[in-house]
Amino acid sequence: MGVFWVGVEIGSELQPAQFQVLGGKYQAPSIELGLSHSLRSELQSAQFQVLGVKLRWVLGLGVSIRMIQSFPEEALEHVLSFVDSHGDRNSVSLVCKTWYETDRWCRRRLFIGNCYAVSPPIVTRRFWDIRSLTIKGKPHFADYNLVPQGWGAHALPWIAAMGEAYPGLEELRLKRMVVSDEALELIGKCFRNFRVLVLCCCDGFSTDGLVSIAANCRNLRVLELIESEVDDIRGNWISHFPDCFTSLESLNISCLESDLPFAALERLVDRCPNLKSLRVNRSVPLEKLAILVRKAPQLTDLGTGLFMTDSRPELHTKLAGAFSRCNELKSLSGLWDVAPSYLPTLYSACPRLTSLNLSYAPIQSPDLVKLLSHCKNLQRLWVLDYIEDRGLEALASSCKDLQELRVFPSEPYDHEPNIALTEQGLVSVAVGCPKLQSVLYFCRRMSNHALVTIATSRPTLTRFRLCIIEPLCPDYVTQGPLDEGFGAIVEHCKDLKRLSMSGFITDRVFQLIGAHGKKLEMLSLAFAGNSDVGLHYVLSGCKNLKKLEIRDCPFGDRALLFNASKLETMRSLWMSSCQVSYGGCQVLGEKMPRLNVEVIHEKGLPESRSEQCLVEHLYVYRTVAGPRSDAPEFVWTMKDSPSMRCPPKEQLLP
Amino acid sequence: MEGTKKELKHEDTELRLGLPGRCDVHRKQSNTVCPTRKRGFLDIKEESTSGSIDQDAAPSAKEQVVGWPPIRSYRKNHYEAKKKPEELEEGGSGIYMKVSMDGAPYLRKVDLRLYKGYKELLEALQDMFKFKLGSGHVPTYEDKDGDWMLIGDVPWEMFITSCKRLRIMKGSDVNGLRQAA
Repeated sequence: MGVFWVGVEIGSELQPAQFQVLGGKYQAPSIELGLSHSLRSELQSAQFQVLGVKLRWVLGLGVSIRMIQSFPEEALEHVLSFVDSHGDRNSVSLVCKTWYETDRWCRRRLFIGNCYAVSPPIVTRRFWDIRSLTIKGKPHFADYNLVPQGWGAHALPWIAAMGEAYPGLEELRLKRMVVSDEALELIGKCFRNFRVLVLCCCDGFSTDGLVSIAANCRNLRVLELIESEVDDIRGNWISHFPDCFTSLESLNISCLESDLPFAALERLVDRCPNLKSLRVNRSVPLEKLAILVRKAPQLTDLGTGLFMTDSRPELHTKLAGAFSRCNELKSLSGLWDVAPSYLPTLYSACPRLTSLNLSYAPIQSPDLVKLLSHCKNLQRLWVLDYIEDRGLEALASSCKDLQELRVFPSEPYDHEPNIALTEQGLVSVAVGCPKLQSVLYFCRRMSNHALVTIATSRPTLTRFRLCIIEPLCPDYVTQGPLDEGFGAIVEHCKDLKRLSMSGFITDRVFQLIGAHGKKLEMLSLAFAGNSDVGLHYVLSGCKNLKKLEIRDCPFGDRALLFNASKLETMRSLWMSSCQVSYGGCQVLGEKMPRLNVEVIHEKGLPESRSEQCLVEHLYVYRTVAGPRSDAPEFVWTMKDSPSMRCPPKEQLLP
Repeated sequence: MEGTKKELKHEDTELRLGLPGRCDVHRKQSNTVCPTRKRGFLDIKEESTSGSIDQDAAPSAKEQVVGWPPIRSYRKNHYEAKKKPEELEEGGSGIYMKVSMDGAPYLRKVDLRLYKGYKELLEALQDMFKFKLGSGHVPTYEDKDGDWMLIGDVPWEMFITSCKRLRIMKGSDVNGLRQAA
């Protein structure tokens, strides 16, 4: 009896571990069905039809296969349960009606990259039972105050709809959304088995809203507030976790400002044996931190509070002792305002660290170098530019496993450099760290030569974000544009997914990006380019572009209108202070009914609203939900042309 | 780039509104001229807004170009919060204040800790900017609440803890301030 080779090939690599064959001999890749005995015998005489996606199965000896029209639904469900990447899941649902329907019933995890690309009713109509929901709201440039307050991305309508349709919802992850206390109260009320709440870069709520979560979510495992703006009324919300509450695994409240009642926090840590990740806020002093760390030696991730106090030898010993017992600790952050004398307390934990965030620690290069020399296994480092070129050189020689480096500016608003950090630091790390993939680097000068060195030394880069603090800053050696340097990055780093550029760059760099940036998904531009040709190169060349965000570039209507259909293949386009005209936006809106073309004018559009008038901000995104109903008065969604209106395509998910 | 250089020269000879030596980098210009390296982009933007007394354009203590450099609000707030404890530290680092004068192309910084009181501060300012008090120039400052006050209005200790930046206004603009106060 022959062996049929079958495996699932839907864009991603087949994971051998996920599949093992039932009975008989098996060879990777193979698939376990876990079917009941009766179904198993059905399969023995079953026929399979390959539809759209190649299905390759390996089955044991003694099984004969004939192709049939349909595939047993339970089998399909089981197979699909191994397909957990959101992109692949979306592709699966497009194969045929049967697969679409099966996916509707059995999809449990949903990712919505743009909350306005769909609507709550569309989601609840389509999916039967969602347990985990991730939604992203405002565009990325909202982080830099480019999106006016009140623009939108409200979480409440989503939570209300989910409360009705999916009372079994367990996980909610929101990014850049406006979350009200009312929304938080609703979470506490509606979802009996709620387990995970992650609010990243959100705003609109207060610590009163957190009271609802603490008091009502009896099975809460994860509560993470990541860089959110919380109206911090009082810290005692944390006292509202009931005494019988013991399920906490991760608590991140580092962005809160007010004092936490330490006794309540201590009791919480005491009674939650599964607590693996704890990130406290600044208010927790060093001596209290020592107590917490001693109570939770099982922590894998710790965010400290203020890491300084006057010198006290007994505290020093206590802290060092506490850290030495944290055998699982892999990630360390917080470290606000570190007093260098307390750094040695961390040394015992350093060799196990894979992630270290020192970006709030104003420690100087020599202390940093000493600390980092103990961190041989570091994979991720976030640090201030106090590290300087010499510190980065030391990093490059001691941390050979480094994958991600972020260097933040200590004095971003001074135009004179305050420390000896230049492009050389980045070059050292790129040359010295063979596993480097992700870079975010703020500096004050750059050269094409340095960029070319980085590109040729480290073609493994997937994320490259360079911010030269002075806009329009040229190559400091040649005084020319940095086109060739960035061009080299895109050309050599063939898997580059994300790129942010700065400095003096012309349309030439976009020609290179369009030619080489085939895997590029996100591009951020500021004060760059000469003309529409630049934008055209990017839109016409970058096949996989999903997000494009632009500010202060001389791009106008022509490239946009010429590449209008490209915009439907992307998640979104943001343009601020460019040269897009109101008339151009109108035409785009009319031409492309499946796009929302939002014109955002904070001061209100002038009465004349002439076609030549330039728009302040433009946000274009594909959607199946039509123009949104919650747009504030400074946002205008351009109308579809009546003749081109068509019903929303429900299969399309961003 | 040759083309850009030529434009630079042309710009210099053009008659236009605005402070001398200032480079207009408003977005309407499609070939944004590279500003002179010494003064820096941010300072130029600052001058252009400090020229008018218009409420909307009143310069804030934060950066003048919105969202640049691209640093998240969360981190920005930390930078600002960081400054305060250092300022108030006894014998600690100085209290640096930016000082601008209407009509002057450059910003300066003064360390308020160096002066014992208003008399010394005003002497230093007059020396720095080459003007005389009472000749139509009035020293003002922006306080924590964003209000513009006349220097000397409040006790010295209160002044150094509440001051965010200094500005030497021309006489004609000051009348509005006096009326508001």
